[in-house]
Amino acid sequence: MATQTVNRILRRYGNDPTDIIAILQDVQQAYRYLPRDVMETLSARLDIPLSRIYHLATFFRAFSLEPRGKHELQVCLGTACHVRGAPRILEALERRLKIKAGQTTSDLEITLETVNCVGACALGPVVVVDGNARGKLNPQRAERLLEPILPEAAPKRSKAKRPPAKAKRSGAPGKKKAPARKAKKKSTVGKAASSAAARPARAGKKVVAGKRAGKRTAKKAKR
Amino acid sequence: MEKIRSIEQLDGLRDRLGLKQGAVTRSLTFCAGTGCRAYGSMDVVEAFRKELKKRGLSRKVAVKTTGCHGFCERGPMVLISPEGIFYEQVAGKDVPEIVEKTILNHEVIDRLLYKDPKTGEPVPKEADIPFYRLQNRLLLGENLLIDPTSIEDYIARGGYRALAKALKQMRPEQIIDEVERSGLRGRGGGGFPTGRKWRSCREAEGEIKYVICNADEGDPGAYMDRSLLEGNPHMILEGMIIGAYAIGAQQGYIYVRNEYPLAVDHASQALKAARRHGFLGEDILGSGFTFDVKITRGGGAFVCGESTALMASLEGRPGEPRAKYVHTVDRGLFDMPTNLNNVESWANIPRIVLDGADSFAKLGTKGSKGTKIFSLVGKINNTGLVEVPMGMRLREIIFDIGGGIPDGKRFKAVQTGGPSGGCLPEERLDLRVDFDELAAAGSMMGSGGMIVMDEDNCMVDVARYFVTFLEEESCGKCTPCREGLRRMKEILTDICEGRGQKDAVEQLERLGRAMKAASLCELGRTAANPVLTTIRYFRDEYEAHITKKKCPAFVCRKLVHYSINPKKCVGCQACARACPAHCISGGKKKVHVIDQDRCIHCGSCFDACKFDAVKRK
Ligand SMILES: Cc1cc2nc3c(=O)[nH]c(=O)nc-3n(C[C@H](O)[C@H](O)[C@H](O)COP(=O)(O)O)c2cc1C
Repeated sequence: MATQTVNRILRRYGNDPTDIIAILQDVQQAYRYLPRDVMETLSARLDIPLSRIYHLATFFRAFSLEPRGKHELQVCLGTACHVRGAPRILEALERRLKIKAGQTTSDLEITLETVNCVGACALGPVVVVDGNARGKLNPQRAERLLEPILPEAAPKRSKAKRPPAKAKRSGAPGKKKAPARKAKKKSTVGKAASSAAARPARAGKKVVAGKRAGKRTAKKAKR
Repeated sequence: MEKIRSIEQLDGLRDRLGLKQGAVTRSLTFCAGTGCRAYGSMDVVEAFRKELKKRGLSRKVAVKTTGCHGFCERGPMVLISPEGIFYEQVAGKDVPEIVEKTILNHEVIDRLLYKDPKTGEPVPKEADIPFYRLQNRLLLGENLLIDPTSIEDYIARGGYRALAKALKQMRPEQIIDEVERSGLRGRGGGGFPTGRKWRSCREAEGEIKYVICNADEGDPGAYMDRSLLEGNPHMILEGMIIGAYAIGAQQGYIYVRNEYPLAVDHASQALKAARRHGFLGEDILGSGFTFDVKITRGGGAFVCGESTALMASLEGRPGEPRAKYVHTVDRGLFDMPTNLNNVESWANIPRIVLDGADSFAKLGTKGSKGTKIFSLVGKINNTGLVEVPMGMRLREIIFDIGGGIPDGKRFKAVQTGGPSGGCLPEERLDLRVDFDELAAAGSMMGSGGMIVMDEDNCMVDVARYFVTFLEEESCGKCTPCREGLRRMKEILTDICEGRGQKDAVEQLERLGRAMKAASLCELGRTAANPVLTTIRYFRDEYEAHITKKKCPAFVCRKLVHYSINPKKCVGCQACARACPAHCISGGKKKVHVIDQDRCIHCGSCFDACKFDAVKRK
């Protein structure tokens, strides 16, 4: 089946090696990442050195070397969103999902990433959820975007609505939240262990988007 | 569809389409640009279609979806013709009322009208809204009149007439003369004279030549190219075909950002329609000229907007710039002469050809002719795209068209030119915006982004934002850019986190000079601009961070401390609930306390408190 998909994509571009970026884009779309064996196939079929395909795969932000989540959250960090508080939105989502920008939850449900401007500046700060731009956000509203895609988020909201009292004060966070958190924590760990590309992002602590992180690794290697 | 082969045939088609459209007496026009879609405009359109059908009005009232109108702040919006009534922030529930009152009974619904913020008076007609009235929307104005997926709409508006004139009545050199005389300068950033570029490319030797439309629009905060390509793709295509004929190119490319799926879709549809009508392909309009265009999606790298990087990525290589000892007009894509222009540059061509250079050059300043589209975003009341003649004062753009700063806050700075541009302070508001004036002030035209900032924005943070952006986007090929940006980022981060050294500002300036002198491409050469202009105009903010360890705008979180004023705290617990670190203690009706050791300085408590009890310092 895999080769069929690749064949179809290659046919679309008449096996033209100058279309390699478009071909990789279609592969990325079909698999949600660039599997190594597909890159090897492309290298052989198009007569492009694997190293160059890898260079492209790490250079461009559109590509990912690990599977992306079923759902994609893109936090816009364009200038207009930045001055309206986008960094705090990103932090809130990172905290909530327990992953950093550029990472995917270990259950492969959600990928959190940043983009440099989706051109919907009037609505800033904007988060794009599976291709749909959602605007005029604040950290709370941004967390609520997770509800439809993150089943565990639902109890949290109802909790937030409730008179707050005990849950918070007890210091030990609300019981309802506990399982969700644990689940997410696992995801972080899984991620960190599996993803070399994500490591510089984590080490850097600052917000770094996924493929950018990948790109950095590549750049570092180049140096 | 029969291909069009002559001017007469094109005129005939235009007249027939015009008659057909004229027969529709009433129409509803919706903005269906990316911004309004995010507001849910397509649901509103659907609701109208249903409502009209229910009342048997589907045939009498035309529903049209167009590209971006520019007044993005107010979407979803509908324009009702022929009256010219403009309703803003329309929701599905307003639909039956609009049909009942306005469509059937010609009543205006005050509630949905734009209100002039100065007078509070409702403004019924779109044309009278200050945001629109003070502009000169030669390019953007067409967006309101055209369904971007309909070539008929474009032809009915006189589209492809300029192409017919160029191919049938002008020699290539004549076209280049006309473009040169118009004074058009590239809208993509550098402001290079378009006519001169075309001439060099025409005169360059090469069997094959290429023209490219740069729709990579990497500047964060700028979206005019997207709106043009999304809203009126045929205008850009027509410009490209004319350019290709003038230069002698056989193949064209549109290089579009990956993040703009709607623009890709509309441009692809436009190419197909143009081929069907004989505006692309072999023997265009029976002139013997052959040309076609291909769309390529970018891979999400800012540096690919740079000409040589863009061409490298079109060839299937990583988008790294090369030194330009040899210009791309001589050896560009696949080593052949290549002419690259920005979307907005191409969009200006049809009118220059049709109406002549003089009519274009009438508008603007001595060195910058015509109109320019700016994206007015950030802390501004009327966020949106504005098109004004070159030379309009910043103050007019920001305060008269943009409606000033929201929430009664104070204007602090406007950032122009994207990551290569600079921040201009209040004292510079009377600057007349054109290529040369902006450059003289230390900033840039860039692609036309204007990001407005108010007193709550920290200029050191903004400088750090751009440097962080560029550090990640730098391709890493040349050392001054790669290392310079990395060091700048470190220094700025230190300043923002309270570790700034006494000589940090001098270090930044020195690095900036070195990067300017030694970087390979404009990305590195201009990268220091946001830092240098903020130092130039907002040095006191740097000093507050470095010597007093304070962020006057309360943005740099490590320098902001939150505490709760026991006199004002009513024990409502709003802050404790909002606190993501769970570090606020105190029960119901008890004074709350922030545990400073665990506080992450996120400011959630400050935002949550309705009693002004959370202090920041
Ligand atoms: C780092 C960098 C990014 C650029 N990004 C863009 C862009 O997104 N869009 C664009 O039209 N020009 C961009 N440019 C400018 C192009 O290199 C080129 O000058 C322009 O597209 C030429 O078209 P024009 O003469 O019509 O302006 C960029 C330049 C640099 C150095």
